[in-house]
Amino acid sequence: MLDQKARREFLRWIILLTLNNARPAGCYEELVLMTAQGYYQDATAHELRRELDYLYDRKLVELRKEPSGRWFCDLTRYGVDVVEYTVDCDPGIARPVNYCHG
Amino acid sequence: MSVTLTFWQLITLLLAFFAAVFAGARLLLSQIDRRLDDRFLSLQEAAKAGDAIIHETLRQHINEESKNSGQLIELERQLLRWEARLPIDYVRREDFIRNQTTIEAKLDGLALKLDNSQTKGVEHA
Repeated sequence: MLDQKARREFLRWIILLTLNNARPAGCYEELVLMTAQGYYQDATAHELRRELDYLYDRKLVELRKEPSGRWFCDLTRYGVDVVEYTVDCDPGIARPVNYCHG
Repeated sequence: MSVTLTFWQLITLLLAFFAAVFAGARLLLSQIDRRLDDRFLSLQEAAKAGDAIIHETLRQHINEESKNSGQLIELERQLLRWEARLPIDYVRREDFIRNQTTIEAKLDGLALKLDNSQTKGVEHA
């Protein structure tokens, strides 16, 4: 149970990192899924969409749900601030302490 | 005034008249013939000049075409060379994002683990 929670939260962090690297264009969910699978090999599209939706509700990402069924994701201004450690991060995302700058 | 002619005189007169008419007609016809010849000749020359112009234009077009096809082949070769060079010089955006993020995520995971083990160590001590 605790593992599942840690996994969900770290998955959210991976999504934020991916979208930060995909700036300024943003990217499709397939790429985010492939990236997530680089860390958790068994990550599924459904699981990823749940976390994307959570981040959308927290106004960290923008989602464009295309009629073809694909989701296009991009980071919002607030999301960029969270990834760049400019603002504090509320619980729910496994953002590690900023080990680069102490 | 009355003119009297003998039969032979009349014949001679008529012959002279017809000869004059014949000569006149012949002159006229020969003139028409000559003018027609002149006209056909000038038409022929105009046609020849037109042919020459068309041939010249065609030759120019053929030259241009061969030059263009040469340039096209060169362009195609450059494009193929560029295509061959592309994967050596560049990495796909998707691949970069994936690799970079995976490395960052793994570093973050490592940082979390280190942090946890440090906390545990402090707790144990």
